Amino acid sequence: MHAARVRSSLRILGIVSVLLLGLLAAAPAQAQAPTLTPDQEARANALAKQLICPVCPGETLDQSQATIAKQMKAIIRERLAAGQSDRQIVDYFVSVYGESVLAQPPRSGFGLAAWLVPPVVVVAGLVTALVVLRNLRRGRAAATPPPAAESPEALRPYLDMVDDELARDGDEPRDGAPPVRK
Amino acid sequence: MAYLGTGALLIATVLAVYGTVGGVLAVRRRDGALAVSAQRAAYMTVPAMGLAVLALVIAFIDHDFSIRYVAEHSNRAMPRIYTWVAFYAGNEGSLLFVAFALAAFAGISMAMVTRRIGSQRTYANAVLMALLTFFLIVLLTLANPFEQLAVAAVDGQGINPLLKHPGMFIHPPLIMTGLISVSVPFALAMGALLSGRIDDDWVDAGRVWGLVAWAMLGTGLLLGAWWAYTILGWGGYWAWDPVENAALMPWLGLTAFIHSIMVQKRRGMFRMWNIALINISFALGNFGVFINRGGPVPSVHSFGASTLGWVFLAFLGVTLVLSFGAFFWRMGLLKSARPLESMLSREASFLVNNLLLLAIAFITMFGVVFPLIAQLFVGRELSIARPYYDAVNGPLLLALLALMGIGPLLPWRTASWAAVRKVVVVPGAAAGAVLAVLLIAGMRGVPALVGFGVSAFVAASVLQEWARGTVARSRQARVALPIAFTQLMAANRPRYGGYVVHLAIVLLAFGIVGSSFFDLEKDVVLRTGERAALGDYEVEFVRVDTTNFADRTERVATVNVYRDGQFLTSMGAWQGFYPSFQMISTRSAIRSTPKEDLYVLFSEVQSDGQSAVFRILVNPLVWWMWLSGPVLILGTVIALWPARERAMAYVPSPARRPGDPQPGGAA
Amino acid sequence: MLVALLIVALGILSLVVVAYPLLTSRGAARPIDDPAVELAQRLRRARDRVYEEIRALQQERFMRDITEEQYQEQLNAARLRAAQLLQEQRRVQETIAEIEAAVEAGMARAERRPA
Repeated sequence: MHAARVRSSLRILGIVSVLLLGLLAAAPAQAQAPTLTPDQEARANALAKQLICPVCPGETLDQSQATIAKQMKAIIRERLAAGQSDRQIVDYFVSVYGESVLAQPPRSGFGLAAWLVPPVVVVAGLVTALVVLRNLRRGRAAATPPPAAESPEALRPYLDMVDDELARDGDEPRDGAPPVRK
Repeated sequence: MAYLGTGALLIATVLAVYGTVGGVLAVRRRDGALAVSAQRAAYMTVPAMGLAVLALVIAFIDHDFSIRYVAEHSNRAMPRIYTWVAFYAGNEGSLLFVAFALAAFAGISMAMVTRRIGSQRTYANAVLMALLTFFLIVLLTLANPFEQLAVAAVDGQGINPLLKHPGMFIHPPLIMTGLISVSVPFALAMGALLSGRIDDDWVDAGRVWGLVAWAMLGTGLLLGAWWAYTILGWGGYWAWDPVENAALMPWLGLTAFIHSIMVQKRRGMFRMWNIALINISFALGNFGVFINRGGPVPSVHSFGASTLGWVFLAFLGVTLVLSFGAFFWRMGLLKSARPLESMLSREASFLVNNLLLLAIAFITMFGVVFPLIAQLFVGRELSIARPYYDAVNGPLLLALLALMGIGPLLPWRTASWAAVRKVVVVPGAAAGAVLAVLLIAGMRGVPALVGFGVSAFVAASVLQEWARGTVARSRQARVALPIAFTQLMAANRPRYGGYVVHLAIVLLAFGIVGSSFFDLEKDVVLRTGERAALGDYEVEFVRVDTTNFADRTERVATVNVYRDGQFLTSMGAWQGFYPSFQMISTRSAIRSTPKEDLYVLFSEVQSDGQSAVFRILVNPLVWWMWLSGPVLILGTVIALWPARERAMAYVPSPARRPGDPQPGGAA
Repeated sequence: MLVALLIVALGILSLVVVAYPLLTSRGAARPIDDPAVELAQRLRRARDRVYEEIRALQQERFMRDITEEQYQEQLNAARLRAAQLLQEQRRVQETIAEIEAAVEAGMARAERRPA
């Protein structure tokens, strides 16, 4: 199971390696990364969490170490420095990589289904639980009352044994009586 | 070695098939001798599988590169100690590991329940052997770790550097054994269903093995988070990726199970529900295995593994149909022994807890398969990643946490509002106080405030329960408080062990809330001697040292850390390049304190050789998350500690016992 | 060579271990679930569960989660259930003993009249 996680990381790093040769070429671009205001920094970090690295499925930009993720982060910073809005930047990436670059499905069209199913599940579950609980409650009336002792006198010695057993708390677990099974 | 391994697997297969068929026949023919024999066959699979495991280990140690698996996952340069890790580094070896663990679990669990339940145990054993047979057939046909190369390799490819981490020695085996150990409570439930002896007989053994599986998976998940945090280098510990989700889902199912099984143990209720829950948990575990063995969700392995993925999908489908088939077949026998007395009771709160846990598990599963659904049915490429899960599961997890504070305060059967109000005062006040302090300290943001408030409520409610119980006991038995506390814990281990686990979950929640809402992060390029500021800290890049090894080039970036201008410490962020894997592995420099972690990842040296790229994070309260692991284990051990049976096995004749006129002397 | 030996050894060992119960206890075939023994055991476990319930009750009284009246009422109900289970178990035991005595008497008679 775990091996798979390693494998998926391995794949990511495999991709890193494929792109490794391009790394040195890409690096100088980062060296001249624009300086951003603290507010823009925060927006850059937030955007990196909302976009997926296209070559490493399921990982957002801030998680990914792939070169392309680094480049995309650099693009985010450049565009923020150029004064673009979050919306514009996201739209830009969608136009380049398609909708799958979004870390969460859009709240429209088929993507809406992803947002509707969880609350529906919870509500359906709650309703079911309530119905079940009510049924269990109703069972109360029909339930047999605790069996009345047919002959209290006959039970008396057994009641004493019960009390003995209860009182034996913390002492020897068992008496030396032979077990039922031979 | 290849022959030894394959031979042992063949023998194990014969034994497992015999164990399955013999067990079923034994019950049908009511043949006790055959049942014993089938049970023995199950025991013998353990040494057989052990021999297969041994064969692979020896092959690794001998550098037997005629075996493909050994050649692909080790080399001569690999230190011997990594044989342990290399063993399960690939599909075939990890399957062998899983099959061995299954055989061992089957042997141990069946030996432990052996004297207690007759035909139930025989069926349970047959179910376990059937599962083992499946794994063995896959091992022998599709994923044989002993497959030989036409020409032996001169040297192997070596071990994946990502695996060279202490966490890798424990985390993967724990997750794998945790997932497979769900088979034991599942088999016990199936044994109860098939034999038609559904009373409450399977409950004790089912609870114990459910707890064992739960604790293993939980510890495995935590270790995995720790591993991801220190080695994956993005500063987080949980990414909601499909593989993580796959292990989380059965854990959620088991969490529901170990709670609701207590209702059956105590009150004889939820009989159907418990069997359904364990079926669901088992299916979720199989879904996880399917995802990880090369299912359709983006994962790495090439063509070989994708066949394997479909095999496991078929396995998931077949077990699901059969288990629920048996369930519906026996449904009439599963009626609750007693009705629910009140909506305001611990029983009812457990039901809500189950609902929330299953909802989270289902939503997580939905998130994993949604991109697939979108692609197959609508032809749209959509992704689901962390922000989605945070948004949909976050509130549910908070609700669950809140329930964890309230549920244990409710008594069994029924509670009065007045009594509830009485016990809620202290935890409520504690939560209020924490909230007030946080608000005054200037903290804003509803989710974080709610998270901390609820955590405080839960912690206070647990402490209050302990305090009340201890004081009452100490007064009643006239003993000192510490003794009274120990006696209290010992008197009801499932309950108080459970409270310890709840505290562990609070620690976890505390760390998660702190690090998700208040983390700071920054990517910086630093020249030597240059400093970057983040939060209270300043990080100064000092130098990079490069060392060449046979298999890797290591670079360690030394940084000095300052806080408020004062020198604090010097740390080394590590990075290794493995040419044979064309791969970079990192190990972040972490300064961990209870208040916060300073996390420095060294990602690369710029081409000028003078400056380096760092990712710096301040993660508050992460320290507490790792503390929760040992606490969780401690609580589980307390809860699992076997209770003494008080009922005598042999009832003496009532005539020989003089009546003792002390009714009510029970207390 | 050594490998072949190990495999054969494992095979033989498995065979012996698995076949042993079939060979030795065939004659005195034990039924898989002895209904009487099974019943006695189940009664005993049921009693254990009642005891656990009582223990929880005592705990709740300690903590004053329930009133003294509730406690007494529920405790007595539970004690009564335990006593009934005990009585039932005793009956089962007596039945087993009777059957065993009858079987032994029958066997003794059969021995006295050799075929």
